Amino acid sequence: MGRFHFGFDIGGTFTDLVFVEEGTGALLIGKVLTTPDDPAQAVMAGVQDLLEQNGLTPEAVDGLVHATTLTTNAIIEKKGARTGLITTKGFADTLQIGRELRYDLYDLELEMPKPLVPKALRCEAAERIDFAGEVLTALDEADVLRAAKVFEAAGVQAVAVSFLHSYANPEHESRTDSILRAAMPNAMRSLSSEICSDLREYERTTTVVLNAYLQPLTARYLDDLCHRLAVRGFAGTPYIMLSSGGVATIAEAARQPIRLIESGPAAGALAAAYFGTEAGYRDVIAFDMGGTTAKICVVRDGRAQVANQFEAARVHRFKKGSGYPVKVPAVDLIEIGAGGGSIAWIDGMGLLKVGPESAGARPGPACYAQGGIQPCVTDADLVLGYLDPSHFLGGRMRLSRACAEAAIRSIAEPLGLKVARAAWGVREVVNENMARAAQVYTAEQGLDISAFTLVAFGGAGPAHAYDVARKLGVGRILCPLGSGIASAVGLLVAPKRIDTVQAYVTSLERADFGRVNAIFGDMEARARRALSHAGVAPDEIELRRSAEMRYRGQGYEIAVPLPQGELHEGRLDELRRYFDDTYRTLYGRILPGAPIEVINWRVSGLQRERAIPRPMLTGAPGRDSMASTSRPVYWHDEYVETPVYSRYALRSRDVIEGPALVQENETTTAIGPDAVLRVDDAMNLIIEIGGGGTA
Amino acid sequence: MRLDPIALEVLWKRLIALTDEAAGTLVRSSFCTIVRESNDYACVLMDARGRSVAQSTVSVPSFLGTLPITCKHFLRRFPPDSLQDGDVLLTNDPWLATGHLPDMTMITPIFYRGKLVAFTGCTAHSPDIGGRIRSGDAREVFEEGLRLPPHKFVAAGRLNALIVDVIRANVRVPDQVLGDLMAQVGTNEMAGRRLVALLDEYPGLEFAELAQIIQDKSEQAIRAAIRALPDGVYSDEFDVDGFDHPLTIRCAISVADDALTVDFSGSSTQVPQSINAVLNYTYAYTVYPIKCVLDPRVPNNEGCFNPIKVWAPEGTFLNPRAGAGVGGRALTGHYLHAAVFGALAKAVPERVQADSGAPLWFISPTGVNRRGERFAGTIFWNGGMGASASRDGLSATAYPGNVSNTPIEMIEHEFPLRFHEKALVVDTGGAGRHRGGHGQRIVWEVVNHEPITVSFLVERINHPARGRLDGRPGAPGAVLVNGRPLHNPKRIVVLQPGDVVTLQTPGGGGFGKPAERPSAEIEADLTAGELSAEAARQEYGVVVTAPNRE
Repeated sequence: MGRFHFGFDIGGTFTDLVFVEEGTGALLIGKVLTTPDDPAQAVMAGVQDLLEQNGLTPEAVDGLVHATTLTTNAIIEKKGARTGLITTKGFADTLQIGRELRYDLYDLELEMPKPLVPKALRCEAAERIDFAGEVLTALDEADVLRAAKVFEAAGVQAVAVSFLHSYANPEHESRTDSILRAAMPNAMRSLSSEICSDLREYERTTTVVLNAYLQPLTARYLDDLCHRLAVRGFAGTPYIMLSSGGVATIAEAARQPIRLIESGPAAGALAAAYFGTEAGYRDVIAFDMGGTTAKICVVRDGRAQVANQFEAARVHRFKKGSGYPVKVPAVDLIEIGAGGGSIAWIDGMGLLKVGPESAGARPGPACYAQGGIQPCVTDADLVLGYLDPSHFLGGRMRLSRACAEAAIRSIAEPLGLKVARAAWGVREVVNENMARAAQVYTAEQGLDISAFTLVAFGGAGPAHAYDVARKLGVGRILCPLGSGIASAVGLLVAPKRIDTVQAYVTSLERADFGRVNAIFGDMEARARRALSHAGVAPDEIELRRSAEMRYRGQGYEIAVPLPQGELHEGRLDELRRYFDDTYRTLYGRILPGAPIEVINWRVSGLQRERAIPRPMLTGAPGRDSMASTSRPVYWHDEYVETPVYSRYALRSRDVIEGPALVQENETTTAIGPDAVLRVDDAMNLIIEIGGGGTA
Repeated sequence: MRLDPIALEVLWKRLIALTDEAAGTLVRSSFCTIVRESNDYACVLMDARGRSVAQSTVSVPSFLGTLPITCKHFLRRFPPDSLQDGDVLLTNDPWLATGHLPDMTMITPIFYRGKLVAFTGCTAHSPDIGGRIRSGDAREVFEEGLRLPPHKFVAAGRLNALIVDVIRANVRVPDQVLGDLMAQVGTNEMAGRRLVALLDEYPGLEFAELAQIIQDKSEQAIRAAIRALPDGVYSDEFDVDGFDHPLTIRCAISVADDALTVDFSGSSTQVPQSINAVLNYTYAYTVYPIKCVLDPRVPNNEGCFNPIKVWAPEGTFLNPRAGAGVGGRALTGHYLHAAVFGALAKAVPERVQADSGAPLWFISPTGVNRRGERFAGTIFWNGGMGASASRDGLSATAYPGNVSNTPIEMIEHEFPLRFHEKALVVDTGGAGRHRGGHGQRIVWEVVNHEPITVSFLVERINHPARGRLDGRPGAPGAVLVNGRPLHNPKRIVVLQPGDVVTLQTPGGGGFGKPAERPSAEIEADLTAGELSAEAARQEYGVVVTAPNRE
C-alpha cells in the first residue's frame, strides 16, 4: 500500500471518513456516529476501524483535512465562551439594535436572535476615529482597564473589540489589545480590524463577537484532536476546511474560528465542483439532499460561488434574516426544508404540503418503524418503489412498507386519493419545492441554468434528482460514486486558501492609488506568508484581487475581480470596464458615466489547481453481490415494472435506458422513462434526460 | 377542469414562484436602493379581469391589494379590446395606484393563443420623481413631483417617446429612472413568458378557472377566520401628532358572520400638508394588520381581500381629495395598525399587539459638502414594537413599516454628520405583563463647513404608543437641537455647523397589567439592563435592594 490522504467530516449525526491513495486514487470510506460531547472520540474510533480493516498504519497517512459542525452547533446551542465586548463610547448597543429589520412580515410574535454579549458585559471606551482613519478622540486607556476589571469579575474568557471605523485605522484596537493582554493574560482576544476589516458596524461587531465566542472551545478541541492524532502516530500537519472552500492550518483556525462555521457544506459544494469538472462539466448545480434539508449551490466554471456574508444560527432555519450576520467569505448556498424525513401534511385549505418540519433520525419516517407515524418523503419513496425495504443503508436497516403505507393513508383518505397517488403527490410537492427554490435563487443571480449539470448526492439526492432536473429544465445529472460521503471527498480536493479584506471607501475616479497599491501589497504579502506557512510552494500560489464596488448612492455592493499589477490613474478605464462587465452580468445593464465607489478591497490567496488523485471505490462491501432484478416503480401516473441494477455491478461505458433504478449502499438513483444512463470512466452515473436535450 | 390537491398545490406554487422569480429579476436590475434594501416593490399576477392570483412573497405592506385596484382603473380606460400584445401600461397617480408619486405601477397584458388571459404587474419605488425634497410640508401633490396619468408606456412594442422625454426632463437622475422603468418592462415580460410556458406545459388548463379556484379557496379560508371572530362592532379612536395640530383617527370594525368592514368615518379632515394617506394606501395598511391577525399563511391574492372592506369618507386625511399633498403618507398610514389592533383587542385581545413606536422615523439631509458636492438622501430609524399577549415588544424594531437602518459608518461617509451615540433607551417601552420594545437615542453633530438643510419625518412626539389591556404607554419621541426641543420638527430646518441633534424614537406600548409581570421577568430585565431600579419601583412596585447595582 502507498501513501494516503485522509479527510473526515464531523456532521450532526455521522462522522464520515475517507482515505484516498496517492497515485491510484483508491478510496476507503468509513461512517461512524458522531460523539457530540467529544467529537474527536468518534474520529479516533472511525480511523482505528479503517486502519485495521485495511491493514494500514498511521505512517501511511500524509495529508489530513477536516470539516466540523462544532462551531455551528456551539452557536446554536449557546455553548460558546463567556464573552465581553468593548465598543466606542455611545455604541455598546449596536450589537443588540442590529439592522432594525423584521425578517417575517406577517409574524406578530417575531423572535430575534439574542445578542451573544449581555448588556453588563458590553463596555465602552472613549475614543473616536473618523471614516478617513483620522483620530478625533484619543483612546481613554482607563476605560479599557475598567472594562478588563468588569470582565475579570464576571469570569469572561474571551473579549471582542469593535471600534467605529477601525477598518480605516486599527491603532486604537491594537492598543486596546495590548492593554488587555497585560490586564487579563488568560483571556482570548479578537479585534474587529483583524477578523473582518469591513465597513458596516453591526455586521463587523457581530462577526468579531462570534469569533471571540468560539475561540476558547475551538482552540481546546483542536488541541485535543491534534494531540490524540499525534499520539496515535499521525505525523502530517492537520488542516481544516473553511466556509470559503479553502483550507487553513489548525493554528489559523484556532485564531479565527468564525471562518469554520460552514465548513461541512463548503466541502459538499467543492466535491460537486470537482466531480463535475473531472467529468467535463464545469457549470453545475450542487444538489445535496439528506434527511432534513436539501442544499443547493451554483458552481460556475468549476468554482463554487463564494459570498462575502452569510448567516449563522437562524432562529427560523429557513428564514433569511433570522440569524447572526457573519461577514466572512462562505460558499454561497441555499438550504431548503426538504429531505427524506420531511413531513407531509394538509393545510387549512385542503392542499398537500411537505416540510419544512422533519421527523429527523428519531423517530424518523414511519417506515423506520421506530414509532414515527407521520408520513415522510422516505415513506412515499418506499411506497412508490424507489426504495428497496431490504437494502436501505446497504441492508443495515430494514424498512417497513406496511408502516409507510399506513402513514401515507393518513393523508390520502382526507384528500380523497388512493395511497399510491398520495405518495406520488408527496414526491411531486417536495420536488416542486426544491425546484422552485432553486429557480428563484438562480434568477436572483441572473443565471440561465438550462445548460448546467445537476450533481446529485446525499442520501436522497440521486432518488429525486431526475424529477428536480426536469422541473428546472436541466437536461443532465451526474451522480458520483459514494454519494453518502461525497462531502468528505470535497475535503481532499480543497485548495489551501486565505482571504483578506481591507475597507477603504473612495470614489474610483478620486482613489489614492498609492494607498490602493499599498493595501493590495500588504494583503498580498499576508496571503503569501499564510500560504507558505501552510506549506504551499511559492510557484503554487495564485493571488486574486477583487473589490466591493457600487454606483455612488446605491446601498448595495457587487464583488468585482480586479487586475494584477501596479494600479494608477492611467488604468481607470480598465478598472471601470471590470466593474461594468460584472455589473452587466448580474443586472443586465450598466449606467455609463455614473460615478463608481469602492468600499472594500480583497485579496484571496489560493493554492493553484493541482492534479488530484481521482477517487475510485475499491473493495467496497457488496460488490457484485446484487444481481440485477426488477420491481414495480410508480412513474408519474402508474406502476411500471422497472429493472434494478446494483451500482457495484456496473462497468464504465455501460448504457442503460430508463426507466431504471441503480441501487448502492447509501442511496438509490432514479432514471426516468425518457432518460438514458451512461457510466463514465470515473464510474459516475451520467443521466441525460429526453435524449440529451432539456425536458 | 378538475384539479386534485396535488395538482393545485403544484400549480399554485408555480404561480407564486413566477412572481418571486419576477421579483428577483426586478430587484436585480433596479438602481433604486430602497427597492433592493427595503423590498419597496411588489410583483403580481392577475387574471384577465384584473383580479390578483399571486403576489411575490417579499414586499413592503404598502402594496397589499393595490395592483389589482390599479389594473381595474387601467381596464376602465383601456378596455380589453383596446389592448394588444406588446402593450405596457404605466401610472404613478397616487389616487389610482399606491398613494404617492415615487411608486411606478406598470401592468402588461398577457396573451395566449391570441386571447387576453392575464396581466402581469409590478410596482417599484423610483430613484427620483422630481419635485422638492421629501418632507412633510408640501402643500399640494403638485410640489411633490411628476404625475403620470395611466397611459401606454409601450404600445404594441413601441416605446412612447413623448413620455420618455417628459420623464427625462422632470427627474434628477433620468438614466436611473428610465433604466428602472425598462427593468419593470422586462420583469413583466419575464413573468408573462413563464405563464405562457406553464400553459404550454399543461394543455387543457384554463388559467381563468385556476385563478378562480385559487381565489375561492383563499376567500373561504379568510372567511372561515372571520367567522371565528365574535360578531359585533369594535371601535377605537385616538389622536396623532398631525402637522401643526393633532388629528383624530376613528375606526369601527364590524364583524358580521364571514365579512369584515373597517370604517374610518369621523376621522379628521385632510390637511394642507403632505401627510394625507390616499384610500389605496389606507386600505393596504389596514388589511395588512388584519391579515396578520386572521391568517397570515394564506398566500396573497384577490380572494383574501374580498371579505374585507375598508372605507374612509372622502375629504378626510385617510381619503384625501385629488390634489392633496401625500408624499409623507407613511406618517399617517403607519398609525393604522394601532386602530385595527385597538379595535380587535375588544374581540381577540390575545391576537393583537399594543401600539408600536411607529411611524418609522426618517430624516432627509441635503446640502453641499466640503468638496463642493451636493448630498441628499434619506436615513431611517425605528421606535420600539408594541408588546403582545405572549411576548415583550422588540426594541428599535417597530410594526408595521419594515425598513432597515443605515449603518453609522456608511452615513458618515455620505453625509457631513458625526454620530456621538446610538443606544437603546431603558424604560421607554411601556410597562405591562409584557413590556413594550424600547426606543433609541441617536445623537449626531453637523460637521460641514456651511449650514445644511434637514427634513425630519417624525411622529409620536406628543402622542405616545398606547398600551393595551392596561399595559402602560411607551415613552414619546423627542427631537432636540442643542438640547432644546424643536417647535415643529416636521418643518424643514437649517442646521449650523456644530449643531448637535438628539433624536429619541418612541417606545412601544405594554400589554396587560404591570402587576401581573412575574418577578422573575422583572429581575431578568433589571439584570439585562432593560429596566432601571427606579422604573421597577414606579411601574411594578418592585424595590431593588441588590447592593451590586449602581
